[in-house]
Amino acid sequence: MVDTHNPDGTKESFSSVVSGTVTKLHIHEWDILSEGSIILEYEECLHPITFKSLCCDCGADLNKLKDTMEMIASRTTVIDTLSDESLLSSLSTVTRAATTISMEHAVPELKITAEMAEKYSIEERDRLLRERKLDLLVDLDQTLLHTTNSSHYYPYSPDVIAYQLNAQSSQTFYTKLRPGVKEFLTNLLPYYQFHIVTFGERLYAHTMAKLIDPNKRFFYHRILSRNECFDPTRKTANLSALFPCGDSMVCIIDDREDVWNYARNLVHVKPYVWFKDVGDINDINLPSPAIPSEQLIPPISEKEFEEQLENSEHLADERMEMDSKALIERTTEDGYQHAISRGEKRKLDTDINTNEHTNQEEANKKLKEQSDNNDEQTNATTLPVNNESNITADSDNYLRQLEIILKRIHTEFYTSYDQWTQTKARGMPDLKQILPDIRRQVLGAVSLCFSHLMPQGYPLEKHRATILARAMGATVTGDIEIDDSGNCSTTHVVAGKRTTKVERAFKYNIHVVTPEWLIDCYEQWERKSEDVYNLHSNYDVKQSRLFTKEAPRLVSYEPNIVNEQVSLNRQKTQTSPDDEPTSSSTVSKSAKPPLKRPRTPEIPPTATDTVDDVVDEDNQSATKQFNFTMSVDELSDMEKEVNDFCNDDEDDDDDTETLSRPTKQQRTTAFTPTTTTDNPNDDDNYDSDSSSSQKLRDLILGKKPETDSDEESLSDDDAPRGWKEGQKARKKLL
Amino acid sequence: MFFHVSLDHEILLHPRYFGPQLIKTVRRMLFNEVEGKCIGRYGYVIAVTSIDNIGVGRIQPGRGYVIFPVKYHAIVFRPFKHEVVEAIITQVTRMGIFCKIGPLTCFISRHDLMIQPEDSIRVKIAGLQVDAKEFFAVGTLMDDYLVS
Repeated sequence: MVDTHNPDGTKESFSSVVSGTVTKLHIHEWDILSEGSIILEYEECLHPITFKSLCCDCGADLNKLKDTMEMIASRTTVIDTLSDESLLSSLSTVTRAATTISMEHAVPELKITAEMAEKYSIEERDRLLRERKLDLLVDLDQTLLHTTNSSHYYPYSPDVIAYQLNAQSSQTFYTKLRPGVKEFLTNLLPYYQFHIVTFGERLYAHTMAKLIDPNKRFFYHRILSRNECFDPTRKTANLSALFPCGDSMVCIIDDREDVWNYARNLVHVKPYVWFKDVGDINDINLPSPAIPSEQLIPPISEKEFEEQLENSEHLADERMEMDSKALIERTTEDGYQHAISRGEKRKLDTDINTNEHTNQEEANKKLKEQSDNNDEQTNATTLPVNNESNITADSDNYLRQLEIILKRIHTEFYTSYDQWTQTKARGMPDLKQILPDIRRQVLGAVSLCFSHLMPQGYPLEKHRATILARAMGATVTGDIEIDDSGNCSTTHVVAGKRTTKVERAFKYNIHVVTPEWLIDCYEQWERKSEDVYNLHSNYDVKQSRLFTKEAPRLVSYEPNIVNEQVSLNRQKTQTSPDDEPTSSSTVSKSAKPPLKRPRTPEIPPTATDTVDDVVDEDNQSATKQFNFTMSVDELSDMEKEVNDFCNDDEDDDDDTETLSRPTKQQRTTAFTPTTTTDNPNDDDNYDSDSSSSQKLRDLILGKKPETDSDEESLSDDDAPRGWKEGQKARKKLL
Repeated sequence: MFFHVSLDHEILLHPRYFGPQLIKTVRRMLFNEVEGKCIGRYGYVIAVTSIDNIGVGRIQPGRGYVIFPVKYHAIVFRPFKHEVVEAIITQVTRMGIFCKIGPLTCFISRHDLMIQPEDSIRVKIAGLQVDAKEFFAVGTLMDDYLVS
């Protein structure tokens, strides 16, 4: 504010339109000013921290400030008062660093400048280094716990915690913590600083954190939920904001690799499944809106895959007939026993080798043995097919194994860090480097080849088994490798069935193991004892975890998610009114077996193309892509189920229609024309869970009248076949 | 700052409440809908002190719902810029501290204090922003007699 005395003796005051602190005053009382003279110098607030749009240092509302600035700028040409001009001249010179980075997990509104963010994160990094800790980003769902929203959950366990998220909705959630969570976190607390990074809602994430960590010892306020995620499908987007200095000290544990873009500092955790009917209720793919169609690979049906496998088998069989001796060995139980005993002998040899190779393993030996013992139990809980009875004891002890892995990562990091501080030769050690290195030691001395795992002509590089094996440092070859002197360099054959390759492996005294061995090695970061995984004659490769899909999923009834979905469905039905509303609403709502999604990146085997062509095309994307599509069988299966349910008395004409008409689901999720031609009646693969899915569908259809949304968007004329009957059936249920 | 003001509110009532308890329901709903909420320029309604008048309910054509205009007196909390208030600390971060002034969330940037959640401090409100349904404040400790 400047007071002036006009020549006529009156006083007039000018008030400054900008805010700031005066640093130097150029004029004194009773000075006479001429045009253009400098009055004062001032320092404007740089607004390094903003909360919403308020500057936290000066309290100015930046939105309003911006408006006034623009106003002044437009006014300059008109007004040429002394004070205003001098002030304005300095105005334009101030360049302000925009506050862009929100470093606080739970408060995305709080933003700071990049400079400050860097300063803070350097401080943070130095603190961690001083305390010899690392950052650990922890996922919640299916990593530390398992949550369902179905009150008919099974199996029962006294540890299941029931709670409601908010008072308004009566929706009850049930959560089972993974056994040993608290011990896991307590034991790792001296080594890691935990952050929760989850796709659950904020309220859910904080409730879960309170559940695991009531005293805020582990996570404090470091909880990042869906509300704060920049990208709805990837968690990677937030990394640069949380760690502006780089993520060289960040380790991640998650049961999903895709949300982290297959980051190299990710420890892929064995998914924790307790409630058999649900997967991850906060799964990003449940509403499945955001996947661009280019990402989708034409799906390969399970049947096709089977056929291909059979073909390769036939070839193998033909070859086998020439080798009659092997045939005998294959068919007789004696030969098999023989093979097992040989495999054991071999195992003893390699055991000595591994002990020499890895000192680390020796240190962990005791714990390893413990977990080895429990291994079979663990398999029983994760494979729903195997346990029909109600097992209420939770034998999942993966967290103990994970603890060992993480401690080892920590040791490795600080060993190389100590080396680095002495030499300072290269850059600081990076977990993105160290982690894969450690993993590569797991099967370092192993040379693998596969049998009956992939169809003929399938590019070896792309198969999940190959990717897993290579990540663990194993050498993968197409066939059993025999050098000139007749020695066999291949050490393991991972087989799904007893083929000629397997017989040859027995001849060379090589381990023949099931794909489960590979997966368990991958999940537990150690070379598992092979004899537990010897290939049995009644082993069914179709049920291998290498191929089996995740547990069926149930849509979350959290209000916001449902709204999203309802609107989505509405959109779908509006844009394509001739589609079957039942399939859009009931299927995506009840959503169980149809939404099962293969975890493996199944790229269609191209029988006509040469292998090289395919490799060139998809080389980069092959390891980085998931197949989000459903197979034809799944589609036809769910189509059939829906139809069966809707028209009890209209069966005759519908079956033909089913064959000729592509369904809604096929159009919306598959995006490729390849799915329309197959036989819909092949649902053999779902025998095991069809009863439970039927139950669930009844439950949901009976209880949730949300199909109304579809009713609204459709006029009566447009209601497709079976719709009215479906309603009748629904009323009956109600 | 606290004020005792006269306010209006409209209660939308479902037909199932029509009956002898009607007015009682309207009163109950007023308390539910208004107390603890933030009304644009008046700030947070702390408590309804008296219900002065419940107007004639009008049935909404085609819906069956009824709207009752209600006049009431309430104590409201309206924060002002430069106001000095007592606050309870909720969260301490690297960038500053978060505190609660009753229903109002306030952030205080960079500080050199020994402080922990649940402590109470005296803050001057440096900036205020009205969001759709909430106030947000930025506080400062740089003044006489502040902090504690």
